[in-house]
Amino acid sequence: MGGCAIRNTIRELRFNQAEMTQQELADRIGVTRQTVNAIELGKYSPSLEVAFQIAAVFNVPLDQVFKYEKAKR
Amino acid sequence: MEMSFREKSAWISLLLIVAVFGPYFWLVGQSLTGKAHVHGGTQFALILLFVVLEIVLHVAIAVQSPRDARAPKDERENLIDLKATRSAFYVLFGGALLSIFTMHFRVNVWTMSQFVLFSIVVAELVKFASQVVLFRRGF
Repeated sequence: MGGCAIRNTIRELRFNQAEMTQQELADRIGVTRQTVNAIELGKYSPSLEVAFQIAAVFNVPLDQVFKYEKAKR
Repeated sequence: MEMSFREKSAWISLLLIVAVFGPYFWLVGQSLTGKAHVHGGTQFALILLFVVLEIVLHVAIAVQSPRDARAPKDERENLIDLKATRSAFYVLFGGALLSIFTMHFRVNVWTMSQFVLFSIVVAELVKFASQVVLFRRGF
């Protein structure tokens, strides 16, 4: 599907979890802080496993973290 | 943005290749045109220097961030490594073919070995440069 992109709400979810740092999230899902940053900025799409781990950390369903929607122009 | 251990590692290898093998191949180029002479031990000494500097600098960055250095590569770092290695493979493949091609110019074994070494060095250069670009871009 052209013109679609994966968006995420990780920044918002971290804020709601008492400003969880990228490093704290990275430690909990077993990746580097730079990888969390790349995911958060939409530069890197994580594997399903990491996506589910992120959702599990925030205790929310996967589709509340990642959304596949039309890219903004 | 602060660099990860593996990005620092890629930068170190990239800069060391340029710093150590750049002057070496300049000297080889001079030697091929008869303007200079490369001693037999130069190649060995430079490879040794490269390995020693790699070890020393990697130990230095590992001491700075021991936790990062001990941690296994995550999925993004693995993918960056794979992409960069694939690019390097094509360069090495082309370089190997060109090295074989030099046979038709009746070059001696030493010259041919320099072409092979040059192909390896350029392939490594492409690998680390690709890694640096991918790390900088995020992926």
